[in-house]
Amino acid sequence: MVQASATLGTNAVVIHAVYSGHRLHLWAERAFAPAGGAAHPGAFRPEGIDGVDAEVGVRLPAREGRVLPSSTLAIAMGAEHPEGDGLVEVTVPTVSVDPGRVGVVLESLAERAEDSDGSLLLGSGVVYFDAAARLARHLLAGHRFVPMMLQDGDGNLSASWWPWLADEMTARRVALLISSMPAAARAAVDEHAHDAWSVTLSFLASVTDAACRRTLIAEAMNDTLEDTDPKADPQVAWLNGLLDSSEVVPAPTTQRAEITKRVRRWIGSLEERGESSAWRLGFRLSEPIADGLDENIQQPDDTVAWSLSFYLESCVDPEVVVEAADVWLLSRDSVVVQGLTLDSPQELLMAELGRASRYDKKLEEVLDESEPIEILLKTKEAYRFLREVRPVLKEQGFSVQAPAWWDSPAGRLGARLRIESDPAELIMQQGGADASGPQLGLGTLVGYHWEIAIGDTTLTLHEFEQFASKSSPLVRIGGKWVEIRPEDVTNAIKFIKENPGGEMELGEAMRLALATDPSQTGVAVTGLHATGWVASIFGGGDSEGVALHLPDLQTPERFRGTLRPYQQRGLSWMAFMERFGFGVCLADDMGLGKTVQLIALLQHERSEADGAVEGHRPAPTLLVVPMSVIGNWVKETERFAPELDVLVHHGPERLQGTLFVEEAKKHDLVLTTYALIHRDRELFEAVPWGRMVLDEAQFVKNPQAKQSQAVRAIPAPRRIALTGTPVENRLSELWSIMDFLNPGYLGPAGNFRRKFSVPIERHRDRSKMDRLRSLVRPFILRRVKTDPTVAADLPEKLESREWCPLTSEQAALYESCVKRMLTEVEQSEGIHRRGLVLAALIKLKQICNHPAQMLKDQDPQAGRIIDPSRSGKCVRLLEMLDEVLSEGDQALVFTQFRQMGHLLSGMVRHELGREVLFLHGGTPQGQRQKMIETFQEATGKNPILILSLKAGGVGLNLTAANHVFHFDRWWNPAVENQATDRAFRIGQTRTVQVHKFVVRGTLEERIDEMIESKTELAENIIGHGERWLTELDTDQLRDLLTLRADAIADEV
Amino acid sequence: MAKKASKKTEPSPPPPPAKDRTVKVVARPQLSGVIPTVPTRQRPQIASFRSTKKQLVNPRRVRGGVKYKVKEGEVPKSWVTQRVIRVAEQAADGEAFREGLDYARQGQTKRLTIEGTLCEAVIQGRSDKPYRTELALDTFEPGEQEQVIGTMGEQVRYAAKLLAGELPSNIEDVFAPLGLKLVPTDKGDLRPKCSCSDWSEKSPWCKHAVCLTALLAERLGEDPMLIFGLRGMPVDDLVEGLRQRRVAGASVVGPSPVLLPHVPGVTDAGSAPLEDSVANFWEIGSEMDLLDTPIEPPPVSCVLLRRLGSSPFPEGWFPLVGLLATCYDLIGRDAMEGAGPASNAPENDSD
Repeated sequence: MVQASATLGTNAVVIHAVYSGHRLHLWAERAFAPAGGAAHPGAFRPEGIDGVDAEVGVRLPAREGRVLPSSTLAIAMGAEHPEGDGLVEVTVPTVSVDPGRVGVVLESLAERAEDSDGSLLLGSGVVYFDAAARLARHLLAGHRFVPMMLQDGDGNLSASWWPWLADEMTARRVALLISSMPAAARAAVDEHAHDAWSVTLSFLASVTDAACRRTLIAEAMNDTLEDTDPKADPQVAWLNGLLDSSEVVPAPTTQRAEITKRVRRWIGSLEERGESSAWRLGFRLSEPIADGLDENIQQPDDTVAWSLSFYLESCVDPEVVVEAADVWLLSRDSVVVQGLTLDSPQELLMAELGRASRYDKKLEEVLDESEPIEILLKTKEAYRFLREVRPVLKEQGFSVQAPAWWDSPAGRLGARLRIESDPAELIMQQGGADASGPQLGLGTLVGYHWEIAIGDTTLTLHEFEQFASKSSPLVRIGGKWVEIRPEDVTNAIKFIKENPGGEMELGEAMRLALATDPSQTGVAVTGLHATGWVASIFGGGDSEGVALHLPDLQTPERFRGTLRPYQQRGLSWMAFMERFGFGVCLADDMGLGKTVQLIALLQHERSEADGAVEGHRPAPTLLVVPMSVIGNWVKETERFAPELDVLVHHGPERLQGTLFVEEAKKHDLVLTTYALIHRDRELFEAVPWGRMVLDEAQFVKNPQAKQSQAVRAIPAPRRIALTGTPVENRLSELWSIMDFLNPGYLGPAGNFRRKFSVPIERHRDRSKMDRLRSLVRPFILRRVKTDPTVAADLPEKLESREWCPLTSEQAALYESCVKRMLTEVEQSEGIHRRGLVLAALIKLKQICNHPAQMLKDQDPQAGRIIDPSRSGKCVRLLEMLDEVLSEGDQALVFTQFRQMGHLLSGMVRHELGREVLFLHGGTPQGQRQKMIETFQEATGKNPILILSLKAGGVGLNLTAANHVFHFDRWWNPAVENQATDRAFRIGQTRTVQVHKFVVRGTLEERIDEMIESKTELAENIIGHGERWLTELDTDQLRDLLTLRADAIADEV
Repeated sequence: MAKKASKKTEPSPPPPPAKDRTVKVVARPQLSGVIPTVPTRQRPQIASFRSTKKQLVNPRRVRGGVKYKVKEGEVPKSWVTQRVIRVAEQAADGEAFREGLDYARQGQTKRLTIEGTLCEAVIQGRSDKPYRTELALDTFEPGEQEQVIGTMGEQVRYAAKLLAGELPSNIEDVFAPLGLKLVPTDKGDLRPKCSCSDWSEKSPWCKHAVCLTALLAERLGEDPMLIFGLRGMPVDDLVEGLRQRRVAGASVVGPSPVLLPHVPGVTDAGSAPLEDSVANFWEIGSEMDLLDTPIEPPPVSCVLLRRLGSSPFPEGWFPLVGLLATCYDLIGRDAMEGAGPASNAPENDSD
């Protein structure tokens, strides 16, 4: 993510799309020098796309008549995006894609972009038409299209398959699509005249028609028309234009008018949905009254009467309902029901019943009655009504209520996996603290067998086989009605006979129970029914979210601090899950203290081992972290658990060979970085680790990356991942982390992509998402700041320090600067000396921020890309901002230097792809106000505000932020607090997290220590700014400024 | 120039509410023991009123009459209603206007028929027998109709609105240049005729005329397309004319579908001019995040085909619906399978 190279932007290519002339046109854009003229200076024809070369005129934003780069490209370059003053028409070379290939082409383009590591970007036009193509496929799968008749200027008829968009649900989707349409997608100069609807409809229509024809041609449907005469039957003429590649409808000229009229009426009937009325007709199917009914009914019973009753429902407020029985008692004229006027209720009821009877013959019967209230249906009729008539009526604008069990998945027939395991307590007692690690896990063999279940009722195979021959689709079992389709019965029996049960790995069982695709088994798998420890971890039944009964662990005795209640729960959970051999991911929000929870776990483990055998030490934990947080871990461990022995394996001096292996065994915690995990892989593989932990586990999001492969390869019986990002929503990351934690559980990456990533990410398939969630949920604990149980434990303000390292470039600059300054001050006095010291201090601060700030070698305003990896602070800031953004939060970033603010804006834009607000002393008042309003609106578009103002500009109210970063320091707590208070003001409802950046081993750390220690010296500092520093003698200065050894982060 | 259409056809039962541009409301007196009838089998009922010689101060009450629903002091919602009601207000004298509106609100109208060019009502006054009242409008000659369609067809805006059942409030811009008027706005535009004794050629605006005008105004507000019928150009003809014209004018674009359904929230929204989007030209709206497109089979197969019902060509012998059902299943299946045979098929079709 953030460590990515800084050269990306300069080579970045953006693919854009417009739709014109019934074809999708793709064009590519790369960085260009502004120029006038009729051709786009940065546009070129993309390669490797299946299509035909073409050219299209587009109108694009321009400044002074010169076309501007797209904002996608500008952001990728890290440059500020200049504002346009109008549009200019230019031509771009394109590849035009056949409507039938659009879906495939866009899908492969999306994959290419994903694999390109940021060098190939998709413009908003591509994203838009990709979404539109997905919508088209959604409509095709759901049979939401109609055969259409078309007519041209000469009256000739042709046929087409047309997407049907007028129904409520589809119209809602289309409306969402269209309102999201970027101007870029309708930029083509053509007959659509930049109209969003016109472009989109034409695109959907051409894609739909192409897809339908492909299928029908492949199936040779046209053969059915052999030996027919299109002149004799207009239906045949129409089909001639629908079933093959030819669209022509060969109808005699004389019939044309009548044909178009009839087809228009026919299709137009789909629009008659009683929508103009304020009230609609409703149907309610009620099951037979239970009195005197058998508990179990399997045979169709003609004496059983289901009641289908009618009512009028207000379209304004569906809660307001008038039963048909009451309608006949009402005035015929106009009544007011709960404040809503109902005109001529009796006529409305009859007219609507008349309309409904078109869709079901049975309903025609009621038209003969004078005051119909209900009709009675036999069981078979009731089933037909529920299955076939109800969906049609609902779509035609009627309200249809079915018994609750009909729509409930719990009432379905399915196979349920039963797993037997020992009680959890037994395992807990056996376990103890053995170094060899836990025995169980997802590889454990468990006994299983399949059960047939209908709702909560479990049936034996014998009981069940009775259904096979005699049941009707609606049966009554144990006093409840359920739907059993005959084909389900056959499939279920087949399935049970083919899967007699036995033993299998727990992971396999989980996958079967929670994520089976019914289309493969032929029978729905309705979940897991477990006993023993499996139940206590994954829940015993098929209902989700069974609360875990954890044995509560107390804060370890030697822990120097207090764990908040939710942190204790996190500790207990990790310990419990580890005991059973599961790898787990602690994914709490940033700032909730994942670090302390892990430290507490290590301490707990050590004191348990110590309690069992005096002086016994558990096998070491290998902790892999991004370079930028090594310092944090060292500091936090020192602070909360000083008795833990920590070995930092990092830097050129790091131990090698057996020396390392021996040392590692003597420590509790070995810290290393993602870069080294791959480089020193053999070294790590030689140590018998007790546990391996990944901090900021999103670093292994790319499963192919060498470091990801290395972390999976290093053996460790216990595995933990820490991350602050919502892993469940980033699927490749989720797979990679889960595969580290519980190898093989989610299957091979390719399978996972096909089975989950594509449906979920491209089609937002909720059922697939739910399946995946239920698979991974047991292994992920994620608490967010807004959880009521967590929020109650949190103070209003959480302050933390972020210890950042220096890069070797920074360190070299820092040292030479200190050296020069010390020599110079020794030879000078008075005001001159003071000036020298102050100047050097500012330089040192700048070096700590970013070398470019002092060297001025990368100027963001000149469109140059700033490389964050030259600064430890910048790397850390971007990592943290990335988390802030992924949580949907907003942040303030304070820096003393305006120049640094510019550098940071460029970096955020480039690395995180987001626009940034930057407010500094030179921002005019009007613009300042606008920025603050934009930020406070919290639309998600501008979540980061960088401020370079003394005290953050007194009077500013920035409560939309709940993260405050002090990128560099004032050395004056009062000034910093004033800045922090911009966010921490009346109106702030959330916990504000304050992150103060400190570079380790530098003057920043030493001054921070002084302030924290609240010594006399520190007291003097407060309120006096940096002047006191100038009074120090040279030795004191040397002591304060000289770089300490552990400051440097680069590994060699 | 004005001609009266006398075409009268009974709507075939049951009347589809949205398409049918005919209003026929029959008041049914509520007598004990009378069974309400099914509208599809309407038999107009003639009430047996007791006869009385005395002239009443108040009109005889009609139960279940057609009522004007806009309350006193309330401004009608539709601009069409507002304009038409103002005609009566200007034309009738104050007394007749007030009483006429009272009649309309009380529901003195036993029957209201707006069909084709005919606008007629049976209104119960004080005497035994109800009065027959009528409103006549100038109709458009065929040549004028063509001109109207021509002008409207040139402006996509009008066509789109009309096809969606809406009457744009600046519609008169189409008619004015042709010397025509669509919605009546002054007393010459509506010519009442009534069987009451107050009515005369010279002062045709009796209270019954006002009453009928109010009811017409309200109906027009609910279904503005009726006005085209009253002008002698049924809305079906207008839509077909517009479509034909669009087809003719758009030969470059190619064939256009015989029906462009109204998509709520989309077809009536329109998009901002491209010039207005310079600042956020490349930005995709956040609505995209809410768009889900699950690839799922329908609740019942061919659900639209089921809603369409039997073939539009019942005289044909080919099993159209059955064959289409097979097509739906095959197409749906391929879409479910994603790539499927579709993407493997050779590149020889379409276009």
